[in-house]
Amino acid sequence: MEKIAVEICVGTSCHLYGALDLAQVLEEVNMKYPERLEIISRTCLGNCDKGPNVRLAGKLLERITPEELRNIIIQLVQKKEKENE
Amino acid sequence: MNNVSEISKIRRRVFTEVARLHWQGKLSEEIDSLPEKLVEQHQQRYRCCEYKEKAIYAERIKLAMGLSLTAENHKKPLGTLTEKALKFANDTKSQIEVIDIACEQCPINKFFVTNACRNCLVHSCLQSCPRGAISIVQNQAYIDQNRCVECGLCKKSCRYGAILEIHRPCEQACGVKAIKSGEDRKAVIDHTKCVDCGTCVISCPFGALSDRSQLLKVITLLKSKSRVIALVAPSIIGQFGQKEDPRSIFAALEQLGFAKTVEVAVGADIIAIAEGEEYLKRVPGEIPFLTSSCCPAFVKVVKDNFKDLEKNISSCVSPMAATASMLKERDPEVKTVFIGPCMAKKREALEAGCIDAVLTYEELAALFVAAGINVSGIETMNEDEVQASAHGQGFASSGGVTQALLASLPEEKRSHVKPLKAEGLLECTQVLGKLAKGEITATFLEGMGCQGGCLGGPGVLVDSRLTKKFLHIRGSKQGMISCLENSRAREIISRHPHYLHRNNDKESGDV
Ligand code: FES
Repeated sequence: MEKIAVEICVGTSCHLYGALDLAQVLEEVNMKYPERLEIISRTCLGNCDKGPNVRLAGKLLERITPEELRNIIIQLVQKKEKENE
Repeated sequence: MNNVSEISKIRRRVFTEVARLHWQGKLSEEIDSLPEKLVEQHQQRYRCCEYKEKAIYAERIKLAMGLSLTAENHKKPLGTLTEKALKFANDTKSQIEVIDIACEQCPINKFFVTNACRNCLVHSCLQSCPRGAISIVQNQAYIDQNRCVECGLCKKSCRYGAILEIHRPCEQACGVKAIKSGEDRKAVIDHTKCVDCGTCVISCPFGALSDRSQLLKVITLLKSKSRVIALVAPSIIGQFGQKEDPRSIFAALEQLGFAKTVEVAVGADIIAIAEGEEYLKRVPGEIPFLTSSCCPAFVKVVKDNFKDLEKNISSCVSPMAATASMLKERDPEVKTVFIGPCMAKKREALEAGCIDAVLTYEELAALFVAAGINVSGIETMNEDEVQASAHGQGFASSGGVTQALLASLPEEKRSHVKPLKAEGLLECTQVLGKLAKGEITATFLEGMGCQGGCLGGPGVLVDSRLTKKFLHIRGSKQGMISCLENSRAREIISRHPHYLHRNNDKESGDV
């Protein structure tokens, strides 16, 4: 199954606004649904003023909170799963 | 684990934007429109109205500019205050202030009957209350707050868990009971008790408490012709996400305009040795126990509340002051900026005189962002230079000072030491109380104002459980373990410079 690309920005601006909390969410989801995500660290996604930023399957999620990210990712993972059934 | 709360994000935005304006030289022109800009940026509305939101931002901006929220500053528009802010006058030594309009007047009554009360037949709450404070009103238990003595028996007795115990988060967080509820139930800080530890700042869910920032001063220094040195606390390891490797942080500091970065762990090595010598000289002959003196919040707690124990505080200055004095001895013209996790250091710096400004990691990160510097994007080639021992670096973590002190003593003396540690001001106060009464004994007390030591300070960016690991890895990787192995520190100790010890006469009379 094709993995979902999750690019997480760990640049200083995003770090200041909670990137680490987002990284933790990704780790959790990765544990729960192994082999579905391809997590890539980025040093800047060019959207510093609106961080923290994550690019999920090509779509930029700005000012994202850990809760929002968890929901969006899990939904996406589950949707992919259904498609593959 | 980490949890950058929405309140932290607001604080950090304010720091970033204020720093950005001064960095770009637009402070006085654009500061007045900043509250509006910040409200727009933060689309979520946190409070009732935009008007109030803006007013709160204005207050946060004043604090970020280093100003006090005095009645005088309160009335003035931000633009008229920039000139004053850039004089860096420091009207008061106190660092923590209440943002009055942000305080939501949390309830002060501790026990509270909820709707889960079923007006049962047993009425165990009523029975349990030793003061007869509970009666049944409109089919529900009712607590007469004038009679309640907050014993909590009713809460324990209720089988529905219908009685709630509530605390004001700020009051509960304060280890020295410096926060009270004033008129109209807003939080008020008793500055004769407050030691500026900053625990309340990170505890208030409304962000109604904050410290004053020295960002503007640091930017002004960096823009001046002076040679400015960054003195980084050992807890900086891992704060910017680069695991145990601080090289890119140091490179970023250089990009910002610092002439060089010196690790305060060097000062910690010096102090560990000096404190060890003092211990051997004074304990147990002169005093039964010695306490550490590196944490300014702890030192102030002893001085303010345990007069009899003041003589037990080590006469050594803090590693921050030792490092700064060492640098200024070499070059009196140099400017020193301490960068650490601590708010209380801001006060200590004012009193010590050898530090020109203090930033927290949070403020430093905001400054990086304001200046367009991205630590993650920096590639470094040079080696991670060994400036200090693993024990010196260990000062950042609770238990570390004790470890360093023990290692500095001759081996045969170590087993005589009976160490004790206290972290968090509540525990510090309790332990000091017991020591004073002789209920417990120890020969060395390590006192830390924050849980986990400096790694748990209010100005950190990363949870101490993570940074503790990185601190440890770096220390052991670098290979210099004991402070005694630091030849630079030993050389300084051998000269017995006067600046290593506190001048108590000078300090007395300080409020
Ligand atoms: S630092 Fe994350 S977008 Fe630039």
